[in-house]
This record gives sequence, structure tokens and C-alpha cells, in this order.
Amino acid sequence: MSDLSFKNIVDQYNELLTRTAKYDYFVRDAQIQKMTIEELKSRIAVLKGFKRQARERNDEEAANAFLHMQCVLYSRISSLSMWIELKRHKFHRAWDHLIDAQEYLAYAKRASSKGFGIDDLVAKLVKVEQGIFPGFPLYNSLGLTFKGGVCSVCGKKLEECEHIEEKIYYGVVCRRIRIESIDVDHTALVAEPKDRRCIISEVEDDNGEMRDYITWKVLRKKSTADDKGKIIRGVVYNSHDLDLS
Amino acid sequence: MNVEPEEVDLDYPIPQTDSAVFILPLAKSIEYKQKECVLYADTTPAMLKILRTNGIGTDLAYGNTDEIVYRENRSIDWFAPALLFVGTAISQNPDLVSITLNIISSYLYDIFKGKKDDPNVHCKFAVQAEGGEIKSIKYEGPVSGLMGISPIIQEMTK
Repeated sequence: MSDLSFKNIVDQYNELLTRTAKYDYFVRDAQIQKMTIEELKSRIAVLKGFKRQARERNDEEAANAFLHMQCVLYSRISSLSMWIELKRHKFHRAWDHLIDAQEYLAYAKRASSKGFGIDDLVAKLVKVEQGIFPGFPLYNSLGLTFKGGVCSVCGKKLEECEHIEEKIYYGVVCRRIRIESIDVDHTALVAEPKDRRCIISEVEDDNGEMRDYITWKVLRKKSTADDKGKIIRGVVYNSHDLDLS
Repeated sequence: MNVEPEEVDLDYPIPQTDSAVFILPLAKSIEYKQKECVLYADTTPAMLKILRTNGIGTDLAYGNTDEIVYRENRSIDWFAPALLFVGTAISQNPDLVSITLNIISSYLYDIFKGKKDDPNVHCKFAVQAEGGEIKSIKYEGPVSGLMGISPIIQEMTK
């Protein structure tokens, strides 16, 4: 790929990012946001094609630049999805999309340092988190045991390949995928979990009523069978994964 | 930052190889899905590879990869596998400990970029001292403090 064609791709990416930024607000029409998501998905598919070509040319810098763009566009998709879910009053799903958006930006920063404006996008999402959601002082954190799984880069057993987990190789983040079996070992409440999607979703208030932690709506009276101590419910494991391939 | 002495129970022979560092299991035998397995920290493969690719001979202290079950703590903190430095390897290369800690720190700064500037790590380091005695410490604190424990580990060889 010549410098000019790479420049064209970057120009088109920047144009798309700038244009879709104006839909990245709560009050924008959900239908427009859905159409924008489809456009962004199409562009990601194209970028993945360029990334594959860069890999075939052994051009790791370009492949990583394409991963950067892929992650930023996925972050925009996640942000738009968050607004759509908020308007549908699906607040827990909206929270998951917000975390997706934040995590994609973190990977974008790692993939390439040549992108610009990422810190502004991160700052915007922090403001959204603080302004829209109540804040989660504690999250669920699992201790688990697992066996098996293969490398997301080469498909071999992670114990048998040279790729190192969380490192980026030609635009692909090395991760353990297709794990054979997972068993929960213990759960804990922590302030800083690995996965911030694992939130406390329901809490018992002082009157013994179970409330949705996000909306504070009363869900039900605590069952008398449960009347030993305070009850909380939450997400302990989320199998959802980002697309970093 | 917290550095404490830590007991390490080595009731198995360390393989006789040229490796300078061995990764210790969390448990040498657990039953998992009706099979006997060795339990290691989930960060073991990454540790093995980052040390090997940087020229530090590293091996598992017990078991082979086919029988491994991993434990993961899904916290933002990074839980390293326990490392055993071979005393003679430190004598031959006095920089071994500091180089190892530097490799681990660099890896963590890289993978936590954009998530956390100075993530917390949980590490255990054991050293085979001159008389064959195993001494070990536990470190819990920020990555930025990891290099600071190099002299403590070095002192444990005596």
C-alpha cells in the first residue's frame, strides 16, 4: 500500500469520526444513531481487510494503526449504543456499552500512539459516566480456575506459541480464547475489578426492600427466607468480549 | 507498598536444568474435573514468555503444561506467579534480579497503558540461598515500587 493510499484511508477515517461525533449525544434521534452504527460497522469490516493486507506485507506498524482505528470506531459504536439503550431505559445494558467504549479506547491507545484526540474521547466518557450513572463503590470480582484455551493470534495452545497475552501482534491483541472449562473459586467485592461490567445490580435498603441500584426503583420486598443480613445481587461474570482480532 | 517475608513450601525437587528462574505452582496437586492437575497463576504463560524472550532461562518448577489448571483473580491488580531465583544463577549474573524485575515492570506498563498508570502487583519471590535454604518474600504494591525490592532479593542469597 502506498503512503498516499494509507493517507486516503486515514482521511476517510477522520472524516467518519468527525461526522459521526455529532450523533454521539443522548438527545440525537435513535434511528439516526442506529444507521450510524451500521455505517461504522461497515467501515470496520473494510479496515479489517486493510489490516489483513498489512499483516500479509509484514507491515506491523500499519496493522497496528488499523487496529487503533478499529478500536476507536468500536468505541463510537459502543457510545452510540449506550445512548440508544438509555433512551430505551435499559440502563444496565447502557452501562456495559459505556465500559466497552472506555476499554476500546484503552486498546486504541496501546495499538498506536499516532492517533490524536483519544484523550478528549476518554475525558468525554468519564464525564458521561459521572453525570449519568450513580457511581459504583464496589464491584464483583471473581476468583476462578480454568483449563485450556488457545491463542487469539495463532490459534495454538497459549503454552505452545510465542505470543504473550495482552501484547499486540500485527493488529491483533493476544488473548486466551475458547477456554475449555471455567469454575468459580470465590467471589469478592472490590473497588477496582478487572471487569467493571460486574456491578452490584440490586441492593436491600433500610426498609428491607430490594432496589435496582441504578434506578433506585423498588423491585420487591425482601423474601422472609432471606432475612439474615443485607442482600445484594450483582453480575459476577460477563462472558462478553471485545473484538480485538 | 508492602514487602513481607513469605513461606514457600517446596516439597518437590526443582528440575535440574540450566534455568535461572523457576515459576512455582500455587498447588502441585488439585483435583479438577475428576483429574489430578497442577495449579498455576493465570499469568504464568505470559511470565514464562516475557522472561524467555528477554534471554532469561525460565521453566516451570513442577508439572507440564498439559496438566495445568490456572487460577485467575479478576481484579485490576496483577497477580504474578511466584518466582524462584536459582542462587548460582544470581552469583553468575548479579544483575539477574534487577533485569527480571525490569522486564516484568516494562510488560505491565505496556499492557496497562490507558487503563491504569501505576497498577498494583502481587508478587512472590523466592531465592535458593547459598546453603540451599529457600528464602522468600511477598510484594504487594505499585509496579513503580517493584524495582525497589531488587536489593532485598539480592540480600536473600546470603
